[in-house]
Amino acid sequence: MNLAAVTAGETARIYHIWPVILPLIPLAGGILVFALGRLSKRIYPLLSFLVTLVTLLSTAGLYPLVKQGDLYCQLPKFMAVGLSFRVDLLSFIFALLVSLAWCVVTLFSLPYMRQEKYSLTYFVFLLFTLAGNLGVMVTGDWVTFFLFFELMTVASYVLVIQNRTDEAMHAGMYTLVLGIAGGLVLLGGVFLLHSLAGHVQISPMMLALQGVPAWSLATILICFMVGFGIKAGMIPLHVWMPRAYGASPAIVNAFSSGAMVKAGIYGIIRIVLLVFTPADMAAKEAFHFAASAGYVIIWLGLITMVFGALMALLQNHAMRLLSYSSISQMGYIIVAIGSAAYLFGLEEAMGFSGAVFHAINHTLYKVSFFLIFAIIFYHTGEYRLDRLGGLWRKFPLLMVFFLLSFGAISGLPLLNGYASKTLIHDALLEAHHYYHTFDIYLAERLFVLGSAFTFCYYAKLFYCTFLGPLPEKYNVNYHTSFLMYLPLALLAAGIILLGIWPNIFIENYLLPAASQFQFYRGGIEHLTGFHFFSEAPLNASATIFLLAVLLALIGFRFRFFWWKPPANLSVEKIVLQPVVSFLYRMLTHLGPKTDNAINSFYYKIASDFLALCRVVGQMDSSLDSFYENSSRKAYQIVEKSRNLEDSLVDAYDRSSKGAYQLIERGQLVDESLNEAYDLSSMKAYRLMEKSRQLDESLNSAYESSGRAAKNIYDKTAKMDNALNMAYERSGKAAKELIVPGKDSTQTSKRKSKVSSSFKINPMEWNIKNLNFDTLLLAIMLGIVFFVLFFFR
Amino acid sequence: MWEGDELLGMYWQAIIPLWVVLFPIFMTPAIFILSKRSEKLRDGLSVLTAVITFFSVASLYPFVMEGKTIEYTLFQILPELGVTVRIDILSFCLAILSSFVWMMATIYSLDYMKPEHGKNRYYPVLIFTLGATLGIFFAGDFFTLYVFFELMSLVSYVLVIHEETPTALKAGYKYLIMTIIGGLALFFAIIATFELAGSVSLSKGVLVSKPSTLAFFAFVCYLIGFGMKAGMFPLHVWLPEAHPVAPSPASALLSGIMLKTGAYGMLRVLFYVFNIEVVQSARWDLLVAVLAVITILLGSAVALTQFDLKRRLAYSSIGQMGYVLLGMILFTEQGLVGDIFHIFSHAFMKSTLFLAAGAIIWKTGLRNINDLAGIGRKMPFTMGAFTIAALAMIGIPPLNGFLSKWTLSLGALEAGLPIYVVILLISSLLNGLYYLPIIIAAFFGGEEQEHAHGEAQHVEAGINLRGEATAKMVIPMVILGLGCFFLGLFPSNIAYELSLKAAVFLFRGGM
Repeated sequence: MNLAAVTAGETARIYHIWPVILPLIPLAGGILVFALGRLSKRIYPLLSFLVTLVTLLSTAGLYPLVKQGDLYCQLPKFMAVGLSFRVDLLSFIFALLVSLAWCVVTLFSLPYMRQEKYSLTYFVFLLFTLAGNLGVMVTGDWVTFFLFFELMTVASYVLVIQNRTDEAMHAGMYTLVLGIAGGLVLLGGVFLLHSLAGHVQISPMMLALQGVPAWSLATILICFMVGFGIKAGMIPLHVWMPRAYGASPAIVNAFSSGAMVKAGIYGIIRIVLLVFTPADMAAKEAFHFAASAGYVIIWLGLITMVFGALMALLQNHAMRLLSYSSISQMGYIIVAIGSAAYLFGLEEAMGFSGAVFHAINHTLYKVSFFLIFAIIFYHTGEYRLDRLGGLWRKFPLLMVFFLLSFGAISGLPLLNGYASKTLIHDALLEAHHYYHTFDIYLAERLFVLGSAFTFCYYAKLFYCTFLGPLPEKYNVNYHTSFLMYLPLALLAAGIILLGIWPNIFIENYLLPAASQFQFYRGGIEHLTGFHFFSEAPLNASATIFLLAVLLALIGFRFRFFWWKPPANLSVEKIVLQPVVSFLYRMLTHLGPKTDNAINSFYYKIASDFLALCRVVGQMDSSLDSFYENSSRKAYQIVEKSRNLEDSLVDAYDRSSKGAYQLIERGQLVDESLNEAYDLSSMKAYRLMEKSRQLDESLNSAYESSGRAAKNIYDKTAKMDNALNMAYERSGKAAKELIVPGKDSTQTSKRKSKVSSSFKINPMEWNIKNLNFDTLLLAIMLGIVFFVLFFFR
Repeated sequence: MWEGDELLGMYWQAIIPLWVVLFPIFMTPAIFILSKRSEKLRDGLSVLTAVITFFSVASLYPFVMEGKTIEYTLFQILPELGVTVRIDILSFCLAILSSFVWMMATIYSLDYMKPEHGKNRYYPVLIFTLGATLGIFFAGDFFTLYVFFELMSLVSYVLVIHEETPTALKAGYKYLIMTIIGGLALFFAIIATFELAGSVSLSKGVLVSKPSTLAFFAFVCYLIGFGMKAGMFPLHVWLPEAHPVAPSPASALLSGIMLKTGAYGMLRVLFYVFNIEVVQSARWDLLVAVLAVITILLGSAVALTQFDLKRRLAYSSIGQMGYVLLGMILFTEQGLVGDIFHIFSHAFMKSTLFLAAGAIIWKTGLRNINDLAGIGRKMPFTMGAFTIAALAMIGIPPLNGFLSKWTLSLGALEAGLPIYVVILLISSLLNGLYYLPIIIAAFFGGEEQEHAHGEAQHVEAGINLRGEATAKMVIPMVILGLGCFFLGLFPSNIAYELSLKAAVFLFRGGM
């Protein structure tokens, strides 16, 4: 077959609903199990197994279709953005792997769960987790991927806390929060990818991402690597794994290590080897980013691998040891992915095949390890290595299975681990061959060292479990169900078959899968008919084993493997915990503090305002009291003035009374005066009468004397005239001297007196007198009446 | 130019907004009077009113989906200032959401309120508030909106203090004071707008098209007025006090719907009083954005430290309203879709959560989160609804919370602001940190102790309805909880379509 002619663009696309149905089978099965679980306790475990079996068969049944081309299906309006599903060969391989692992472990669970509590919850969530795990493999875009990824994270939580102990609850929470955090970081990467590339299909995107600065691409890659790294247990994101594995039953760990971790690996393969490649092989420069990322990923993988192995060496708890072993094995796969990316355009098929093959192999032997320890725990209730030992007498068959898996994981030829390790090792050698740099050489050496460590910690595990003295309390006869051995036998068959004929698998499955990627066709061709059992890889394997045996001897002799590192010496304790607890504390302190500060700020404002109001109130009240005071004063003044007025009125009264009295007195005076006047007038009248009589007598006297006097008068008249003339002359002279005035009137009065005395006219004079008096009286009366009238 | 039937149709459509606002308001005295006669009649009439209101609003759907807008003036107080009615897609979105959740909460109230006192006060106020809330959405100008806004705020005070405990009265007082401050700020803003533009109508396009000092003050006052209602930092202080003390159906409405009136008001301000160019050129959006970010982080962070269930939910509401405020200020179409969709999502999620919390309190009297271990096994439907809504809050696909987070984040990236995506993701993680322990304790907590008693080795998380609340309580919250699921996953996503249309509508000038 001319593989070089096949390119991704030419792969047929077949529209098929089956990829959608695939994850729905366990989902619906889980609901069904939940519904039926209440009815009968016997049926649901079997039903769960049947669901996983159906899932496995329907996945396997896709093979004829997948061989023809990609299966795809789109649900355009679901979740508003649309869901899309796609199954190509790589998806198919992983989906098959996952459903196989799930089916085998569920089979094992049937007898195992009989003694466990919460088995309904276990079986229901087992199926839900399978749905998520399988869904991840069959999706065609990152949103759908994320949907199932989260389903897996959330559903698997319930499996982690299967024991419901405090330790399990804590570990579960830890796992869940880390899983969700990882999911969110992943989601951030998906957002970035969507905004930069315009879509989130799981397809080569480098052309769409052309011109995007490298740091943006790096951010996307980091987001994805963090999200998947947490799931895959990549150091330093592995921290949840030892905790969760240490607290949950071995069968759950078998799911986790055998299948769920592979979702992370699958994601890393997709993002590194597919998304960051151009759809067209010709655009060579577009590979640069992936190549430089590959270099970093190689080192991440090596760190994970070597540290995982070292940590595994020091564990005393079988589950924790196996968890570090899983971490370390993921390191192998990450190294392989990294070297594939590093060798883009050269021999990337080698790394790719190594990664996928190793993922499969790891599932096979790691699941059997977990199941072996599940059986041991089932009987002994113990995972701690220092309390186990000598079990080969009780479980000889288990020891055989253990040794088989042991050989496989440490890379014994003719077992499956050897083939995939050889591929990864060769990929590193190729990298060194092409780039000739010292660090890649170092990487290759580290890889050898890590493999040797792998042998050592499994030797320790084997020694502690099966060799040595058998504790007394375990010296009883155990009956192990056939159903428990059956899954182990199946896995062992897989280990042996893949180990003896790796080429068949690689050529029929892996290389066609690789050819759907943008890989150098020559590299793929190199792998057809790869000589696994030629001299060079066997030599490398021998080196590893020699080194491993040496290390193991030293370790056992000096009991290095039983050294307990101080509890504080771990990535978790040194880096993660302080950072996380600092962030958490900062948030939980800062938030409420801000909130309280604002609240108290408002209260402060309110209380200040209230104080202000109080001041205003005081001002108001003082103003009020001022008004009150002043009004009181005014009142007092008014009162005083009223007193004054009263006294005034009194005074007026009194004065008016006085005046009245005065008037009365005046009246009296007046009356008396009147009387007096009357009297006097009467007297005057009498006097007047008398004087008239006198006058008459006088008159007659005068008349008689008048005649006589007339003579005299005549004579005196003459004299008078003469005198008059004299007076006139003197008067003229006096007039010149005297100013008109009193003197002159006096003078004139005197003159008139003089004249009246001379011109005596008694009648005239009387009347004149009388009139004047009356006038005076009238005026006086008027005044008196006026006064009386007024002050009355 | 309409002839015959079409004219008649238009006429009826025009009358509906008036009808749905006035119908509950006029039913209020009827309910009050009937409550003296018979409790059953009162309850029945309340539910009937809510249901009729919902279906009346829903009958506008075909009309609104055609993209039509109706606007008319009822009467004028001054020239350019009167009571006007308006239907457009945005008001329809909010109205249909409100009347739906209201209907659910009213049905839920029937049993929840049974042991409570003051029911003769509760139901009329509940229904009246519905009318006032719909009035806000169907108002055609800011003056009418203001009137209904104040009406709703003041009348809902009675709901807040319903229990009449000292805490409730204190919280109610705080609520009242803040409401009045907000109302005054809003009033000033509206006056300032009127001064600047000579009109406060929603049909005039952009009212203020030039940034000025007065315009800025108006903007800030709008922000105070509406932001206060939406629980925006630093005006959120009344919210964590008032929401937990109200009866749970009222809390669900306060948190689920009435907060949204603030968001609705801000949307109208951003797209009708000002416009994108004005706000962006004057950099006023930065103010809102900073406040929104603080609101998000603060709400989530404080929720972590609360152990009273309803208080935790109330702080969560603050954080979620921060999303809404952030979404509208992104000024991208995608962001706006996410924003309006998040209004839907949050209404569904938070009312479910409050109703579930209410059912727990009603049934067991437990409010403290630490006491809730094992409650999920006793009340599986209640906690099931709670779980769906809480997972939606965290943003687990395919629930509606994920969809709103997705669209909001893409909007933020479209606007070139990836930092907001980081904020959203951090907030999601915090949501996880404070919701997950509740769920976990409810379903898986306390099992050890139960089994320690020796009875029932194989007690499973089976369905045991003896511990569950009554059907009238369970059904509304299950419907709302399933709404979180259906509005997330399913292809005929009414909420998403409406949000999409509304966003496009607003972006085209909202005419």
